[in-house]
Amino acid sequence: MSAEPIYSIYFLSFSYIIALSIILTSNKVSNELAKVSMKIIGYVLLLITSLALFINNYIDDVSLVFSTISLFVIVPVSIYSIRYTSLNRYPGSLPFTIDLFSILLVTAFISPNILFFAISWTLAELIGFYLVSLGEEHSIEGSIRASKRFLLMSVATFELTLFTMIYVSVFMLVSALATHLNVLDVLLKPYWLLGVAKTPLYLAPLLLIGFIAKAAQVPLHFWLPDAHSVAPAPASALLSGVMTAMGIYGILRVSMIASINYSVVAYTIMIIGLISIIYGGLQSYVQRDGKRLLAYSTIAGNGFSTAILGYYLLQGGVDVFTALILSVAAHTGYKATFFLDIGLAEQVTGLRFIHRLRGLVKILPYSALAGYLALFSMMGIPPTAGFISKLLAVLSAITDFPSISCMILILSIVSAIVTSILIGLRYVRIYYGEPIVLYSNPTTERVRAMEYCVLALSSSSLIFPLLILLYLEPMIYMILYLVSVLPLLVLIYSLYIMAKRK
Amino acid sequence: MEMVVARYIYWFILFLLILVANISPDRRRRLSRILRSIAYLSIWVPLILGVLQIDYLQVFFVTLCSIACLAISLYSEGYLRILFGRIAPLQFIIDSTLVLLVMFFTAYNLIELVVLWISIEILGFILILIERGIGNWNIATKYLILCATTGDISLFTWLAVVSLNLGIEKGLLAGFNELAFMGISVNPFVTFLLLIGFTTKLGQIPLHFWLVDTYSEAPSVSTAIFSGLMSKMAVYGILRLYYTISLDINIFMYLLLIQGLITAIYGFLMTSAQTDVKKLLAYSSMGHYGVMTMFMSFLPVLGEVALVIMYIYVLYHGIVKTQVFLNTGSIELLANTREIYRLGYLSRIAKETYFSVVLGFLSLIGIPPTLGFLIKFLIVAIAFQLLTYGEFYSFALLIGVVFLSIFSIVYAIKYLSVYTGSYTGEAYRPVISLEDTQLISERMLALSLLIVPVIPLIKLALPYNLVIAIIYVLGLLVLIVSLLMYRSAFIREADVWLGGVEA
Repeated sequence: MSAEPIYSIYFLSFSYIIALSIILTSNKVSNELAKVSMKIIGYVLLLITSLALFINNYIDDVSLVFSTISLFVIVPVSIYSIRYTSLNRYPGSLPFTIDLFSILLVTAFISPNILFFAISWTLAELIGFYLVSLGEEHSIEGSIRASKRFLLMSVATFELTLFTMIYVSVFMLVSALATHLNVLDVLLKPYWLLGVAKTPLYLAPLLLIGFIAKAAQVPLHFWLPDAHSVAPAPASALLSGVMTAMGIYGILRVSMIASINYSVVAYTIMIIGLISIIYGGLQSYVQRDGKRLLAYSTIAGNGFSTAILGYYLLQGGVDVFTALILSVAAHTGYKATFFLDIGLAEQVTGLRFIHRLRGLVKILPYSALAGYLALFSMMGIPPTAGFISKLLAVLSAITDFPSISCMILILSIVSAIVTSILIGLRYVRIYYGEPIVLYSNPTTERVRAMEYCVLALSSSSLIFPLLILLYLEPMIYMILYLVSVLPLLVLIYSLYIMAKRK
Repeated sequence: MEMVVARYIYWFILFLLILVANISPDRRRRLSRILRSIAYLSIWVPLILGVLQIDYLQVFFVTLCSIACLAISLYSEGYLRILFGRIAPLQFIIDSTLVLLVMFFTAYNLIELVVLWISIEILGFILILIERGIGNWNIATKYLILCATTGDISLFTWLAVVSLNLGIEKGLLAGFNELAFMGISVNPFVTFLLLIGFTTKLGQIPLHFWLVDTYSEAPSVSTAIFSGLMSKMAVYGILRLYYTISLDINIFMYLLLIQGLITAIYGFLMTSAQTDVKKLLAYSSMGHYGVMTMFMSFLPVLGEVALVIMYIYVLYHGIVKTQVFLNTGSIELLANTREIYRLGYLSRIAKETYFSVVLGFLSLIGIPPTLGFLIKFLIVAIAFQLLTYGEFYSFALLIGVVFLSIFSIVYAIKYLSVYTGSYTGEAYRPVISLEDTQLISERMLALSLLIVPVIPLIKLALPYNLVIAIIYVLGLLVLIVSLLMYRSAFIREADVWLGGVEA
């Protein structure tokens, strides 16, 4: 190795630390405008750093895509949290905690080796626990044991899996190569240099359990609705949008370092995904609390990604991989938007029961527009990210039509579409009708800046589809995008008008 | 590639015209009207010049679009102004739906077709909500779940089949004319999946119940779009499917034939039991869709002839249903009710609409110079031709036509009694005069029913061409003479005594 890359890694670490310090110190600045601009500068610097890392081959495309998606979501959430804290009388440290949490999440995604991943992720879990318990203290309705369950289920299983991963990567590799590698040396190697270690099947449950719990798939899902519904809205957005994407990311990484008999694992994952879609979707449909509805639909949304992931492990192929990335991106975008949206609704009206909430378009017009866009992404209307992920999944499913895996995938796609339409049509009612405002009206003026954050976040539904340009032939998708973006805007505009009129 | 760019530029210009026309349609009425007319009339330019790769399957749908879109857009202006006092936001929704329909019928490849179909279906959801808002929520949801979901099943299966055979890039980007030569064939089950969405959109029997609710509860302008144009998307879809993929012939024929026959009988029978003008017309639409579906099932047997007749049927049904559904809007505005037995004597306060609605129903019954006669004549002729292929086909089609003819007379008389019958109920409110654009629109559609038969007579090789031409000319003469006699011999009363409304 020449000397240049070493200098560049020092330089990049330096810029990474600068970005971190800008973001974290921004919370000590009193001027709001300065605070917002510092945050934006910091996160953009972080994005540039991760791009530079990718260009210099320090991280691979999976890390880049996941970190970019997270950063896109994190910036509006972080800005949103400033006013959210003061309006809801949360402790002044909440924006700082959220920033710290976001940085750790991004670091976990861009870390190219197991050691950095383990450290940043474990810290993120602890801060997540703090955020959920903070939410418990402030929650009007909801569980009071959510944080303990979160700690037990999500964190414990994650640690279990993490140490299995370390065990597999270190000992299997060492025994396979019959060399005397330093343990730390193995942990610092990038994932793609680790090689594929032969792993016995009995280790597979241990390798998967943490990520299955992280993505809240069915046998290990029960911690999620409580945790995500009591956490403060920006924290819920990050927990639900970004942190559960970790489950998918983790399994992808496991598949890079451990070689198991994948057909068994893949079928298990696909069936878990299918059950999660149906269970989460139906549970979500009968919820009255808006945040719980969203939390259950997270189970369903991740179930869809999990099903595609299982299919990817079985079949491979760039189409399936793109479908997977886009389904994760779509879920991240729309779920974070919804959580911020319902957070604003709770802020203004004082409640989040979706059978009571009505007429939000009249109180929160911009956030409602964002909600519509997110809704379309969830329901899979062209050209949103949700649609393109479903389209690609269908297209890749039919390549081996009569096989069992293809049938499971098609069944998952159909049930995902049906449940998301059911949930969407139930959720969208909060925008119609006559509004209920329990608090005084000036509140609605003060939350205007937060609404812009939600709107910016919802634009992810239209921007994430462009991720496809990284992987596939662009022509067909550009046509699709161009033809359908106008109707979509017309549609949103007209829904908006319909709700705004009597 | 240049054609792709040309088409996109054309679509963009259409959208731009509509956008500019709807910036302030209430303050600059004339400008808005002119721009919208230019947009919809501009469809004739590529049709006549033969650019934009519009092929033989699309021509008649595009022709229908240009006539119906202009009429609907003009009518909705008056309709919305009377209802809401201004047309500003809602007219844009209607106009953009119409433009999307034009785009749909000029789509060149599968991916454009699918995307536009989905967009239009969801805009249909909005069109149902346009007048009553959340009051129509359940109906809109029923429409979305039943009609749009099954439609998507078929579309995605279509996408899947094509991309499975040709690869994603080529399959979705290749034009329909190229796809036709690829020789893609599918098994019976896939054929069923491919057809079910389109027949549901046409309200065929097992999944028909969304249709009547949607048609009768949506505002009249939206219903005109639904019945006149959106249902034709499904016809276009089936025709396109038939000519690009070799389907399983048995499933294709028997599914469409049986569904169509049952729907035709059920739909036309139900017309006579209705007391609501819109429900009556909704069932009549359903019956006509049944006959259409039945007719499409003969494509493998009859070939080109069935296609030609399908074209005329589409043109006829599109124009006439647009007209009569717009007319129900007029009735609702004039008399504030749609109950047939509470209405009467509307001919006295709305002479202009009376004239056009009579022409419309002459066409629905099938009286000579109108387009309705042409299509009925052709169907009967074809029914006898079918005897050579199989008695069952011929018999089924004849049953359909008999129900069509008999019940169209029944419901036409019932509907026209709204204009001519005597008054029976209480008066609600003073009469509102309709806007000029509404009258122009209705009259335009009625006249086009008389003029349009010329196009197929000249352009297409119809069977019995000469006979039809002679009957057309004679019928036109009779109509003109009777109009002149009506003008000179009609006795006008000095005081108009109104039914349904107070003077």
